[in-house]
Amino acid sequence: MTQELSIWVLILGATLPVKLVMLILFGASVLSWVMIVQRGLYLRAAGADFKDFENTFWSGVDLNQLFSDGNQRLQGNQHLPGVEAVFRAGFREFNRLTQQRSPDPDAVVAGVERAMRVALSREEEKLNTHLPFLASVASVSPYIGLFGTVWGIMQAFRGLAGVQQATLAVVAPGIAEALIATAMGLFAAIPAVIAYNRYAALVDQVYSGYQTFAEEFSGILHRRVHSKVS
Amino acid sequence: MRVRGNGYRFAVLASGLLHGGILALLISGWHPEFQPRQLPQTTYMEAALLQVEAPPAAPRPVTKPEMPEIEPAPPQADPAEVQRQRAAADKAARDKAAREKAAADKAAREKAAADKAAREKAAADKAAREKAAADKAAREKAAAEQAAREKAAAEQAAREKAAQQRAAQQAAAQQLVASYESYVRDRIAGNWNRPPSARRDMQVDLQVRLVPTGQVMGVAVIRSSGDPAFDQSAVNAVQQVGRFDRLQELSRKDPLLFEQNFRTLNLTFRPDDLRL
Repeated sequence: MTQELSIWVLILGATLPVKLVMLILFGASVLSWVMIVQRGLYLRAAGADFKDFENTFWSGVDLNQLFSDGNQRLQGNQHLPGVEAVFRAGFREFNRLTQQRSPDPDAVVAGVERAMRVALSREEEKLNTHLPFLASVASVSPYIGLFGTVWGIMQAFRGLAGVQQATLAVVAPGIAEALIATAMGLFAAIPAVIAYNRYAALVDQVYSGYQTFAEEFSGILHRRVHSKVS
Repeated sequence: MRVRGNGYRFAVLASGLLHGGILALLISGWHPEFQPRQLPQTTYMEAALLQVEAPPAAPRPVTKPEMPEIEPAPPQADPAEVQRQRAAADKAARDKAAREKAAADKAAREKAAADKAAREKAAADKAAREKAAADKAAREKAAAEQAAREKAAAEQAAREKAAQQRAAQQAAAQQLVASYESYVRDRIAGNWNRPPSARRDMQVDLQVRLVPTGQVMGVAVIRSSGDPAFDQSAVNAVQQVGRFDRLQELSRKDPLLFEQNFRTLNLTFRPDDLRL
């Protein structure tokens, strides 16, 4: 067993602080993978939903029809895509404002835009959930691992001080066990970095899609309210 | 098909599986394959520091004089000659014995039936045989002695020749050493600043250790002059030189000469050396 320095043996042989570090890193890795998978699925779904909704929207469907469809789906406890929430917020506000007597077109448009901005920022929040966690795992876990390694090497050298003949064989296991902490830090950090970068780009893409849609939609409503008035 | 809701359950499951798998791998004793890399075997040269204490006139190592001993050819030819001589001696002895035997026969015939004669004859035979043997031995001994003498003479000649050669070589080497010694002396003298306390009768002996590059590795005072400042000035002079560049040529040309003369160098510093 001492000859075969398997990684598990090294982990078990580490000192308590190093073990703690490894535990933290392991937990961070598990959590970050949960986030990675969940975010990956969520963002992919969001992108596809956005495309679907845009297709329906520009297919010339009646907006009232679209809105009542959404109502139905909400009652059926179904998931609504983020862009639809933006649409619904804007449309609801538009309906409310235009039902007033002699509405001011500019006020209507401003109200609609405000409502959509609120919905947009909510959606952005949803898209960005967990990404900060991934970012911090990505940036911090190498340091935690490094801390474990430094601590472990310190211990190894302190042990070395008491030995008469300092051969490589005396220090090597200590250093190997210490380096596992760094390895684990990197193991946790690398997927997190990759995922964070990729997901941040995806979120940007989807969110800018939402924004464009919101602008276009407010343009449509603006045209409608002005034609109504005149 | 599309994952609705937040998909947390699936994510937790996937992450759990991934990490569980890694843990299981580790616990089961798996570790990344490693093959001890075959390092190219370098052949090391054992280097030992040897200190050649011999003075310049030290005799060359024994390996050289041994050569002539193997050389001489004459003793090689000797056995043939010895054999020939031995054969000749044998033949002579045989002839002589035959002649004597004939004479004895004749005497016996003359004194036929005489027991005394017979006894005499036997005695004569025996004496003859003994004499022949003695002759033979003496001649063999003489031949051997001759051979030994010749061999000794050849060896002597070879030794003398080798000695002459050695003497010539030594003379050349001494000249070479002397030229380098004067170079060393000049270099040190150029760097020597005598302290004001220096007197004419002061003398300090230093031992300087050099390496084949000519670099000064250490300076030690063997015999102090009694004046620490004067001693220190001498040590400083050597240390300021730092490196005797030309000694590198010598050690490249003739490492042995360097080892014998310059590896440890005893220097004597006397103010009048500098004619000051």
